[in-house]
Parts: sequence; structure tokens; C-alpha cells
Amino acid sequence: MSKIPRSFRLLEELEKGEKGFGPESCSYGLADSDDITMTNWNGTILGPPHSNHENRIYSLEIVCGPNYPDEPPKVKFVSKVNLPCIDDKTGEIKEKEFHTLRDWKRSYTMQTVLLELRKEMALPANKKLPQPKEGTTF
Amino acid sequence: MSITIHIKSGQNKWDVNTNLSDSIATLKEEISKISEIPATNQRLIYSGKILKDDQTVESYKIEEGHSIHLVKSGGNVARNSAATNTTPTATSNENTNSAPSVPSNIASGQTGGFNPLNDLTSARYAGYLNMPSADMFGPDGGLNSGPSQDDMLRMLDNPVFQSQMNEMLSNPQMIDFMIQSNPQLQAMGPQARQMLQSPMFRQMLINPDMIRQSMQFARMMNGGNDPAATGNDPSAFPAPGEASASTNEQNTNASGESTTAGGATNNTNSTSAPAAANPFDALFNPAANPFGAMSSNTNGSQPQQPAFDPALLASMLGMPQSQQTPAQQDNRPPEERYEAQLRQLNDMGFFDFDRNVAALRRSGGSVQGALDALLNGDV
Repeated sequence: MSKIPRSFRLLEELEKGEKGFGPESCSYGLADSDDITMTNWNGTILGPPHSNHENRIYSLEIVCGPNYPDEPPKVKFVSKVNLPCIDDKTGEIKEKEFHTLRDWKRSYTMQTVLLELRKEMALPANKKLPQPKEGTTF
Repeated sequence: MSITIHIKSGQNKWDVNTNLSDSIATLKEEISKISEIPATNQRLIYSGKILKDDQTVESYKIEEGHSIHLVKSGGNVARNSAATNTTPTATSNENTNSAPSVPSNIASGQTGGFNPLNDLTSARYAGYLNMPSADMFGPDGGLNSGPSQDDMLRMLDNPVFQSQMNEMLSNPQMIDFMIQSNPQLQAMGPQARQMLQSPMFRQMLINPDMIRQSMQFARMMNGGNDPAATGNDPSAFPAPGEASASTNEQNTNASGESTTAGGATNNTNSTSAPAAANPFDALFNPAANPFGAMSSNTNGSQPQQPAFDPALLASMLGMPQSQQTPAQQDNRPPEERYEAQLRQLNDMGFFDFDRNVAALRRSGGSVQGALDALLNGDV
């Protein structure tokens, strides 16, 4: 099967994000809709219920480099969050500790990353971690 | 210019008309009219951004047909809807107002005012109720097969369960409920209540030894085959009243059937002798009737063949009765088994086959349940 080129893939993801297909719990779109390289994206994760993240909205920055989707995107939290796989100074995701980025597959999308991060928040080990005040940013 | 956008919030979806030049604050007012969520409690998310009140719709490049996620903000609203709805105090009013999607009393209306399961959520049973583990019901969540005999025995051997059964059966409300929910018992009229209230009956229903004996008896009648080993339905043995007369006939029928049905797990009496499937037949047949035995046999001669049908217990407890729905192991691949459901999910825009199948598995094939799982991102 031939590989879907980067731009087609990103256009597809853009449409999915704008039209609101896919799950409720996350959202993503271009940071600047005039950016024809489709590099900088915004993402949000709605905190999973029954955890300290409940009812919180986390903002993220996603950077899809020129080699996306062969290489994983760079993902960084804007909202402050306390998770083991997140650098607590910068909000960047430590690639080595987050399995979705570490074992990246071409078929993964930004949505996969956001949903996996949300799962990470809901893990029994993480869901009761004390969280910084809502609205604070890195 | 006016455009229509979709607002999504959990299970709800609304279409809203707005002008490109409108501010987000105006849009929120618009949304509050149809969603009944006050504008101040709304948080709108579009393309990964939280929309700010002082910006306009146009500045976010929102276009015709696009979707915006609506999240109810903060403490009050969310806490109300998450609160247990069992307390009919002042909060229930707020509940219905602020979260119309949550019924204020989930248990209402279905069982004529008494639902024994209500108690499961009350503090009365806290820490002392041993809920059966989920795998008791098998991978399909108990849709096709009830608990096996062995599970049942294990459960009955548990003193906690026994005392619960005892308590349950001595509760007149519970007896009413059982009679109400079982048409066979309803038909019996006042007799049923008398029977259920008798301590002897209770003893019979929850005495593991008695049930064990009757299970041995059942195995014997199945031609010495261990039902679990042959794949025969474990609770498929005829009611005692019919037993002696029709055993032979059934056995032959059963063997005939299993060849025609290609060894499928057909139970012997659901087709060949429907009358035998009625556990209450025994009650009207004094010869093999446990109550007959109790009245005529109190002088303590040799112990009678225990005349008890596990299916009776199952039906009493409202457990799925496998006699009526012969268990059939479904070994088809998921795309075949869930064909219709998968098509529905596809029509709704869920294209990820693996996730769809996982969600359907989890929900036991219910599209609604699968949707919930998919939307929550649980799979």
C-alpha cells in the first residue's frame, strides 16, 4: 500500500478536528489556519472523569515536523499538569517515557496521542496525583 | 453572514445559527437558550482552542458545519450531576434543572415501587455484601448462559451469601417482588406466597447439600455425562415431576438431536419436552413433590431423592435462565458476528475497526453501549 503523503494526512486530520468527528474528549486544530505547512497545532484534552483531572481542560501545542507521520509530533502541555511522562519544568512530553511516542507507528494520529495522554491521566497510578491550580501554564 | 454550527456536549448535540461577526459571548447566550446551560458555565472548545468571550466567531475561523465542543465548567453543575441521585432532598431539584440528561431517580417506575437492587447502593450493605465477581457471568456478561452449577454451589457455600438469601426470603416485600416478577408464580395466586414463606422451602432453596445432591441426580439423568465436559447446558435437566416417565424418551431424543444439530449445544428438554422446563410442575405432582415429601414423610424414613431444580433457584433470583435461551458458543469472527452493529457504527462515522470491535465486545453487542465507550475514549 502506498504511503499517504504528509499533507493529505494532515488535511484529513484537520477536517476531522474541525467537523468534530472522533471522540468528545479531545479536540485539535491548526494554530494558524493560514499556515500552509500545517506544522503548528493546538490540542485540548478534557480531563477524564473520576480523577483529579475531572472537568479540567488541558491545552497542548503539537508540532508536526516535515517528517510527520513517519516521525512522531512534538507535543507540549501549555496548561500545567502533573504526570510522570511530562517534564515538570517545560511541559514537554518525555518521549522515552510515553509509549505512544516511543513506539510511534505511522498509523497513529494526533488524536491517538491526545487520547493516549488522556488514558495516562486516568491510570489508577496517576489519577489521584495532586494537580496544579487550574489555569496555570508552563 | 449567518452560519450553522454544531455544538456537541456528551450525548447532546445542538445546531446553532450564528453570525460570523458575533462575539463568542453572544454565541454562548445563543447556546444557553437551547441547552439550558448558563453562558457563564459554558466552555467552548474548537480546533484545540478554548474560545474566549471577547473574540468573534470569525476570528477563530469557524465555518459552516463545523463542530464546537461544549464543556460544562466547574464545580457546581458537574458535582450535582455526578452526585448520587438516591437522596431525594433539595439537590434533586437542581439536578433536573441543571442536568436534564440525568434522570433524577434511575430506579424509578420499573418494579412497582420495590426494587431489591436499590439496597445494593445503600450503606446497609457497605463492606458486607460480597458482590459476585464479573467473570461469574462469562465473557458475554451473562447474556447467554447463567452461572454454572459449580459457581452456584460455590456461592451457596459462602455463609455470607446464605445469610443474605435467608434475610431476603424472610422479607415479605422481597417475596412480593419475586411473585410479581415471575409469571409462573403469579399464576399460582396466594399459594405461591405461602410456599415461599415456608421455612422448609427456604431451607431447600439455599441448602447447598440439597442442591449438590440434585445436581448429581441431574448428571445421572444426563446419561452419566458430566454436563460441563460434554458442553451440555448445565441446568438442562428435566423437572423431577416429569423425570421418571420421560427420561428414556428424552435421552433418545437428545441423542437424535445432537446428531442433527451437528453437536451444537442444544439442551435436551427445551425442545423435546417443553413441559419439563417448567420447574413448578413438580409442585403439582405430589409423587415427586418436595412438599408432598415434607408432609407425608416427616416420620423420617430414608432420605428422598432430592427434588430440586437449579433452574428454579435461577428463575427465583431472576438470573438469566439458560433453559429458555440455549447457550450457543459464538465462535464466528467479530466482523461477522457484529456485522450489523459495525455497519451502524460506520454510518455514524466511527471507522476504526479495532476500536469498534473492542467497544462492541465490551458492550456485549449493544450499539448504544459501544457508542458510549467510543465517545468516552474507553477503548
